[in-house]
Amino acid sequence: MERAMQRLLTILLKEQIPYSWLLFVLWAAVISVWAVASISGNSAAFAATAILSILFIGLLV
Amino acid sequence: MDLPPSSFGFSWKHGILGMVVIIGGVMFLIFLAGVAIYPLLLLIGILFILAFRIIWHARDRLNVRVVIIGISAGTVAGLASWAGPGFNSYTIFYLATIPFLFVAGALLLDQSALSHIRIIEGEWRASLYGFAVGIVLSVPAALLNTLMGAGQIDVWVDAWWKPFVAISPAITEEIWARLFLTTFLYLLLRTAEPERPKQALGAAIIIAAIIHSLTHLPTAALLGPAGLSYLVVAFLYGVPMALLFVKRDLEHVVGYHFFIDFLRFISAFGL
Repeated sequence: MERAMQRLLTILLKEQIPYSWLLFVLWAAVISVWAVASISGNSAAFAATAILSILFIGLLV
Repeated sequence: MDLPPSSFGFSWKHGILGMVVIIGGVMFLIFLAGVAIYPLLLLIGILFILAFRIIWHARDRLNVRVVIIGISAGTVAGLASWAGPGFNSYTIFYLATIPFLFVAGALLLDQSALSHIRIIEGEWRASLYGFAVGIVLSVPAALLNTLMGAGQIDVWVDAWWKPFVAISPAITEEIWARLFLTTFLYLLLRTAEPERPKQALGAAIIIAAIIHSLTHLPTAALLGPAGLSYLVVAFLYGVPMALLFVKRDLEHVVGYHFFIDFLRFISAFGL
């Protein structure tokens, strides 16, 4: 688990994933989690949507 | 972005920080004087006087296309806001200033090379593309805004087409807050320290975003906890929009702003 996290951090920090792709993945994640939240009415999913949205805005900046 | 040190016809020897303090003081006085009326109107009145002076001084650089687009932007915003809440004489004054702020903003933008207005450059496709991309990029911010319950106050949205009123604040606010105010503050701060453009840009973006955010509140509410929460809103919404304006163009940021309000009004209709 720790090794996987380190690998992910390396990929992110060394910009092996293009910025636009990262932005797209996060954008898609926001919409997916929001769709799940809207259908299920799960409050945790709504909170996750808000957190992902803030992350997306942060990445956009 | 090499600008003459005295872009506004004066020299300043107290650096960017000194200029920021002065701007902050002036803004504080404007908001304080706005106790009797909505602070936005007083601010827009002052920005209108500034815009008029800029246009007058640069009248030899004016071109018909910019003026027509400015008037068109004000007209579209006016027609859209007709169906919105509280259309009155204040709204008419506010909308009447938009063409002036647009033209002055375009002149300042031309001088600073801070961003682009694709429609002025005759790039119609790029203009529509920018608007569409702005909408796509705004989806997370729009969802966040709706999740925070922003639509609960919009009880006036009682027909399916009324969310389209969102084009009005998108045009007007992006013209005065981003195109005019951010560019004006940037040029002013560059006058203070021409060799530090990044700091000038950062300060201009943050100040304009805070001012834009605080004008959504009556002055009395500014002194309470709501004032602080609106500072957070400035950083969540205003700063990304300003950066989008600087990195892309005005059309991107109008699209971004439009969809945030559009989704908010749709959620209000669904309540």
